[in-house]
Amino acid sequence: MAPKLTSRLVAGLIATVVIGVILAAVRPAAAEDFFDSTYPGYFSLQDPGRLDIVGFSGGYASDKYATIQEGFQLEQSVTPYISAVGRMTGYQLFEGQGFDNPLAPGTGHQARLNFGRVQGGADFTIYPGTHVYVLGGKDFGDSNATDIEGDISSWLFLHSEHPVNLSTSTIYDYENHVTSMSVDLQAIVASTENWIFLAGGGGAFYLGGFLPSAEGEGGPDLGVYYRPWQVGFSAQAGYGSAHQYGQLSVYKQLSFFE
Amino acid sequence: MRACNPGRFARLHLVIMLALMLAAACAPRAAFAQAAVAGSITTSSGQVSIQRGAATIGGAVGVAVEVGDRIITGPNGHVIVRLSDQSTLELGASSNIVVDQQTSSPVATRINLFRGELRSFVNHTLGAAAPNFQIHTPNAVAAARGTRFDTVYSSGVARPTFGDCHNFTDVAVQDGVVNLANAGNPGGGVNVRAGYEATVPCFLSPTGAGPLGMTGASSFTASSGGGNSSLGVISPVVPVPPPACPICVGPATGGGPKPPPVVPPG
Repeated sequence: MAPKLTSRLVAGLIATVVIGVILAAVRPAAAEDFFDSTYPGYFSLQDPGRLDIVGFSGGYASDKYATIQEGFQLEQSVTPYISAVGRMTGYQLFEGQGFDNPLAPGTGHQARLNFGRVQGGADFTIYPGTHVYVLGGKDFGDSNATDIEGDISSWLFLHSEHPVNLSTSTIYDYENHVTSMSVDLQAIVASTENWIFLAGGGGAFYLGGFLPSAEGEGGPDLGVYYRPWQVGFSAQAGYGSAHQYGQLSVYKQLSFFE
Repeated sequence: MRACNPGRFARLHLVIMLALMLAAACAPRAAFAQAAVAGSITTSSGQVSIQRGAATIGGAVGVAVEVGDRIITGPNGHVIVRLSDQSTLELGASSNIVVDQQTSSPVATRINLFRGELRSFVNHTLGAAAPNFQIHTPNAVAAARGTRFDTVYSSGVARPTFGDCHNFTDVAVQDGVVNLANAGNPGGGVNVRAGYEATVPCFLSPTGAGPLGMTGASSFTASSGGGNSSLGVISPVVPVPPPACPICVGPATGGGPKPPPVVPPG
């Protein structure tokens, strides 16, 4: 009985080892194939390198407050899938009468606040058309916050007439402890030699910090991009915690190959 | 009255016969040479050469391009050829084409792109029959009917999600429609409209057409200052997501004047 049991155990052990070896041989190979197929040249430096500069500006107005922001972003490729990102933004905030300073809650009302935000981080291309930005930064001026930001932009159905873009941006402010998140879903309505037209909808959510409960807003948006100038324009209007609101943004891209 | 001189008449007859024979011998050659001319070079910069048979000639402005010629550009080369039917071929750097066919009646053009990038402007006279204009690459056929489009053939390159495939033909259409098919299955093509681009990877069927500059296809860069400004990659369209909440303003919770109560819409 004992030898039988031993032989069965040995046979089972051998079978387990064989299956393990097969799995070990097959699964990494499959994973390797997938990796090579999806991310060819992952560890090679981008050649030629590429520097993208994006200038942007925009405004937001609601019943309670308004902001203007302007800035630029530098993105330097490192590998085909990873880029270093630096961003500098200036903000002007105009508060409605009676509202507290949202940057430093409890310090009272100020009609206008000016501050800048410097951020740095990386852009990871996790799949063709899908980017994840991870940024950290520090404010100066009327805000002294440290912040961390995570953005995702993903293009779906790129090989179709109407690709769809889903983008989210989440920022945590370490001074007022508010987490802000925007979500936007847009589709390309039409593409011509020079123009791209987009339509969709989006909104923003705010939670934590001095906010007693989650707040938010949302509405439809429209976008247009002019290829020869690499200039884009988008507009959104809607309703939410700040009542009616509208926002406009414009951006200009410049690309340099090194 | 002068008497007829038979010897003089015979000499004259001989001269006329020789002239006619010479004309007959030369006429087909002249006609053939005329038919073989496909166009001429109108713009040339950098390293440009034409291989005609065993001979290699420089690709300077004004040089005639004949059917069968192979046009080669170097790493900094750029050339524009105006064809006899007023269509144009613009060849980018490190490219290699052969003019396989160029006829005026019926209007038909067939170009073989072996390497690099080619921008085509197909002249289509209003009211006339659509010209038969085709670009062939080692793995694809792009057939246009009165259009403007770019064809780029890349060999030995890797692209995300395409696995072991290393040869790609990309077609980007600025005007009109191009039917893009795999060379092994010309009937299985997809129509690519203006503002869109598609790719034939290796010996697979063409991909669906996606907006210009967004699908990862190579773009023609020769005349755009190297910055692919007109066909640039615009992914993501909004590279800087608008700050979701640049400033999170909510009802004050202590300190300062109290704001009016804010009640989110029910």
